[in-house]
Amino acid sequence: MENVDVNAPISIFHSDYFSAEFMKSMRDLASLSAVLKDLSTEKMYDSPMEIIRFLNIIQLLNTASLGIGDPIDHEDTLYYRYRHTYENDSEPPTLQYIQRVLHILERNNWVVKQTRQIKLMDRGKRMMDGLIRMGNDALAYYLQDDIGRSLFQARRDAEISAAYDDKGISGGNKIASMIYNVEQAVEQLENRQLEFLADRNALPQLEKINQLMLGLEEKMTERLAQFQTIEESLVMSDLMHRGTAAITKGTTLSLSVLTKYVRFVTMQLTPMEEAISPEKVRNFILAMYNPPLHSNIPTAHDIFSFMEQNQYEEETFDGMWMPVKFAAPIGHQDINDAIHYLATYEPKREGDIIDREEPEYREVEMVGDSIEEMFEQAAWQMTKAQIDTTKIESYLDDHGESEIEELIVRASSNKWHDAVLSMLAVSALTSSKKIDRSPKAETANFEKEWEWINDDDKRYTIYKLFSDD
Amino acid sequence: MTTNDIPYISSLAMIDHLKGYLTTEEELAFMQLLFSSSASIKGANYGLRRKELEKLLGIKNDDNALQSFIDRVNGALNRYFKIIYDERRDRVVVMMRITAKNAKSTLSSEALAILLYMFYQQEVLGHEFTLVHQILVDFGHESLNANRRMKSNIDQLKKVGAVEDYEASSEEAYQLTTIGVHLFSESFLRRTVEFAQETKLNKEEVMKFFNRYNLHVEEDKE
Repeated sequence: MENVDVNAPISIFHSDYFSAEFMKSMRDLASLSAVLKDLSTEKMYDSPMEIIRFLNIIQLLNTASLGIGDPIDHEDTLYYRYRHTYENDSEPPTLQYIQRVLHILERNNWVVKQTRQIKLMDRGKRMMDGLIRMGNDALAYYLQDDIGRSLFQARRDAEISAAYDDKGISGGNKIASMIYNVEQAVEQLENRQLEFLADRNALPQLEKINQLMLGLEEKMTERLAQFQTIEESLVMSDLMHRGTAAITKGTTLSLSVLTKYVRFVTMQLTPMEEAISPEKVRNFILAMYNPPLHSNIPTAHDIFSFMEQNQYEEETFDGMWMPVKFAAPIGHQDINDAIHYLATYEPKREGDIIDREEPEYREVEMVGDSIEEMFEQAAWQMTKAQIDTTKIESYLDDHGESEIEELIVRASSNKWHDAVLSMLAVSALTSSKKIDRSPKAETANFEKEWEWINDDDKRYTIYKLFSDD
Repeated sequence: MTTNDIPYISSLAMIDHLKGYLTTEEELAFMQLLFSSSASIKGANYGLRRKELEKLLGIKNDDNALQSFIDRVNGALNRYFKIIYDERRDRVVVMMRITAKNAKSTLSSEALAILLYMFYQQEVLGHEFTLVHQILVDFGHESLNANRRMKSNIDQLKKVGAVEDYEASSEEAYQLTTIGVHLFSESFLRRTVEFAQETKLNKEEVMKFFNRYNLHVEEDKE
């Protein structure tokens, strides 16, 4: 990386993927998931109790390592301390379970079991801290009502950003996230103004929202001001515009709802007593969708069941309205038509079908060279390319037939190397059936440099075979 | 097609009553309307288009005549059927009343909760549409497969024609149809709100809350 800014925060996204530190940090996360995976059973998602038990154990280990609690020497200590500390857990984990958890933690290098003490490794400490923080954050988030949530998250983002970014460690896109959350909250607030106005109980909530907004505005301008000094102004200026816009809108909106609300209440002080609270209706509808087990919230079907009891007049009768749905009757004529259609179905076509003449195929016998001959010819051509047979051939063309010795000497010369070449040519011509030989009793002697090994070999007449080329 | 094909009607003494209200053409138009509201093949296209109905009735662009026809049929049969005119989709549909017991087998309770939510948003708060994202956020996105579950429930609602896609929005959104608006009975709404408030309520107040006041008065008059 060139031009490293001193202020650039430490971030995994901009670090060297092959550095040892980077690898270690990624492996930390892998070990986190390994622990969670080893722990999770089929039902983990549906049994939050299992998770809190695990966190309880971690918390015990953590406090012991911080020196708040006494050190833990082995599993039994942990087991009894758990029962003692978390008295509200009606089903504390068994010793086996604790052993299993410790085993998993040990395998992933979160703890070391020594003879006299169970000690936390650095990795374990950081991971445990992270997990517990995550859990607490989530709890704080869910404790807010749904408008408060976005705002809460926004404030938390601001805090995290202050905790991290200022220390030179990237907290992620916290500023952007903060602004996004504020925007969401403002939008929610805008959409649900009507409910707040109609609802008598909304005053404390509105106050809270307004408080949050005011606090947030301060925090946010403070955060954004910090970023002004850094050279990232191009990216930041966009965010800053969005942020200030969202905050301004939110604050004015919450203030205006508040004043409207006050006026509304003073105006209709009495009749509101009887009226329906939209907020309650809304929350009830949301709860109806998937009411938790053992709750007293009825589903839509439960309400129907309730109506079946007919406590109000004609309730049973007034169940629901549905669009009419009669099955259309099918007459016998329709069935006949359908069968006729299927039986006589012909695909649609355009225009008349033109009869095309069928091509006639005849068996044709090839008259001429057999394949074998063709191959031989080709082989001959190749042979010819290597062996010069022209002299022999032209001699035979001129003289018709001749004795072999005469042919060899006359066609070229009486030198022995010419004789070798000529013999090669004769044998090539013979093998490709261009010439043949017939035995001859008397032969003439020609003057030559060489002798036959077997003198009988020369008693042949060579003649040309009929050839069609 | 004869009235025998519709067992509900022939068994109702009300049909005699109806004769006094309707002319022969109107009676035929009503029967046609019942029949055309049926064909499930048409998907969400229940009922007749206004033009088609007007042709059957022998009127043209006559709001009063159409309204009078609807009012008279509804007046006579409001215990069993109601005719509604969906201006947005240009359809006249017949809806049938179902007892509380049978209502349970029509739509899942989750689908009903979603419909109720849209109904609340669009009828009480006056929103034009409901974003899918918002339903997901509000109805427990924490559960497993939340999105798939929600979609299949909305599909049920689409199948009976209670909601339709809202095209004008850049995000995925739904809008109630007239069927959706009329689906919940007054007793059901009253019970629901009573549960929400944890107190007994006057039916009229509930109707006022859901902006159904006019409707209620009209039915009372009959």
